[in-house]
Amino acid sequence: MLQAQLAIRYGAFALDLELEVPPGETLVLVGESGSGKSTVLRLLAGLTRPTAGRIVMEGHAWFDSARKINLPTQEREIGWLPQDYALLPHLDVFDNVAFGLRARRVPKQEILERCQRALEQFGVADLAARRLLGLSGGQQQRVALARAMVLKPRLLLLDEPLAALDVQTRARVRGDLRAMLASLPCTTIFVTHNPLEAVVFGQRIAVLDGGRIVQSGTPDRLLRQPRSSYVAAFTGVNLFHGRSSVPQPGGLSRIETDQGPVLVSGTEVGGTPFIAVSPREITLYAAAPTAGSAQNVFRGPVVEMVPEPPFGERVRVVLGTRPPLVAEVTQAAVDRLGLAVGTQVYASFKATAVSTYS
Amino acid sequence: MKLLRTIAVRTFVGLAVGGLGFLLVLPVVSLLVRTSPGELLTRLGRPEIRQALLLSLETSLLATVLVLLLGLPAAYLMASRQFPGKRIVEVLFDLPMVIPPTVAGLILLLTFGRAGLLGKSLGVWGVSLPFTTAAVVMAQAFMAAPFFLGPVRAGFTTVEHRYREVAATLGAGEFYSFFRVMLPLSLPSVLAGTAMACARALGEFGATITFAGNLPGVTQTMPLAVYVEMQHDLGAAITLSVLLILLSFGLLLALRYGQSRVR
Repeated sequence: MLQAQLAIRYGAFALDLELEVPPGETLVLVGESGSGKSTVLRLLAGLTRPTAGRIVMEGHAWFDSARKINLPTQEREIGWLPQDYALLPHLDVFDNVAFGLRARRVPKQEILERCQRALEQFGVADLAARRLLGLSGGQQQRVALARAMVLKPRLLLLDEPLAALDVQTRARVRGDLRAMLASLPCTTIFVTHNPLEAVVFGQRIAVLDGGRIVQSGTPDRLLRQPRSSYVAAFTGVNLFHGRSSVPQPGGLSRIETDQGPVLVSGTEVGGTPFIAVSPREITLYAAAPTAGSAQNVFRGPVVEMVPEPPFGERVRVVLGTRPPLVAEVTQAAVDRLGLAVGTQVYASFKATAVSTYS
Repeated sequence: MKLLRTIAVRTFVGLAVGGLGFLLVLPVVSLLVRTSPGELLTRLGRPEIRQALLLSLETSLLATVLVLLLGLPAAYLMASRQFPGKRIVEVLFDLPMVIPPTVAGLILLLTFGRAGLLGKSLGVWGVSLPFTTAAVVMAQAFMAAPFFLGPVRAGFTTVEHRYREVAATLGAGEFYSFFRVMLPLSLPSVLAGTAMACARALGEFGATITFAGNLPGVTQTMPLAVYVEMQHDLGAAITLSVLLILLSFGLLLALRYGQSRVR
């Protein structure tokens, strides 16, 4: 079990968050660049010192600002994979993997055996004598994992492990990496800017924004009920944050958002709920709909049209309505309505198509 | 118009390169044509020349080792730590490169001389530095240190931070990390610094003659011997000069080859 409370501030950036990872589980930290993801890993690794906080790993205090404990990096028993793996360029593959054991003055014979086992475990035994020059990104990643895991770390820290790979190999390496991580009994924190990777790798996911965790939970929950525009943009859902809610006749509530009002079903919606509308629930009309049953009707221009999937059957239509909406319609509907950037359209959805959660 | 400018630029570049050749290469050539290899070899047998050669090799080697031992930790600290007044320390390290060697010798004399700041206490222990071979080594090390510190500090600074960080996460302490990561990764710079320092020590004159004096067999290194011999035996001076040039040339050439091997 890893428990951490971390706070640091430099310049205009402030980070303040709490983490808890059960033993053997993988927590994915997802967020935009600059949200503080890599900083969290550096704080846990002891490469950067928090201004305040506490890090407790399996009962051992690694850092405690109140008790003035700050274990140096080399005593923390971690595995750290920076973005481009940082394999040591003056050493061959075997010497890279053996580096940590040699630093710990492990007997020669044991080094040989443990390295051999690690190289085999990560499928790079045939590369042992190779220099780094000419290794593929996927091979470098395996060597870096072998180098970290041969030391049996308590905590594995992965910083965007797929970012250094080109698009062609990324999907394959992602599958391999997932299988390898699943077989490791090590508590792991995985940092990524890509919500898809978060969903693939995480048993639990924490969304980071501006140095704070804005949402944490299972991948399923994250996708169904996003609480950040970052994740909503990824799943493609229309997300608004309600400021106030007023009950309306007919079992409805009117929720004010910063970008305009939305009608939702139910009168019990209190507080400041999140409102999510799937783009597929939104219908487009060329003229004002008169006989529809939809309670939410907005008028605005088409701002952008993006085929979804790329060159696919459906089109995501970005609208300049208030609140701004994204609708997903068929190519046939686009043709029928004569949609083009700048066309004025009406967009509508039912109050029952809205999901609200706080 | 454009043609004219091209001609002008080419003429200037040609003249500049030619001028530099005259300035740097011609004197060396003129020295080498003044003496035949046979003459050189016979003069090598003369005791005062052999003495100067051996003393120069011994002292400059010791000075290089001294600079290496004292300079490596200093260069590492300068490259890896931030502290108030760092700029001033950096300038102090560079200073011997620009002050006149005679001034350097005078400073050393004022510090380690019989009446000097430290010399007095040393005298109590029966140690007297000036006019000894040890003083030659000190003068050479003093003048050579910046030629080592500069490149090595720069080399350490360019070793990417994350290599040391990853070494730390693998359990390497700072000491281990220095010898197994920092030093191998900046080996070309360390080689360059060592060779430059050695060459500078070999050619040291002003600080040596001021601080260590000019005693044949004790403090009279090759550059000092050149100066002395010039007055009465030009042939001996030329022999010593040729030796010095060949030694320095060989040293710097070895450095180039060493660096390309390491890279």
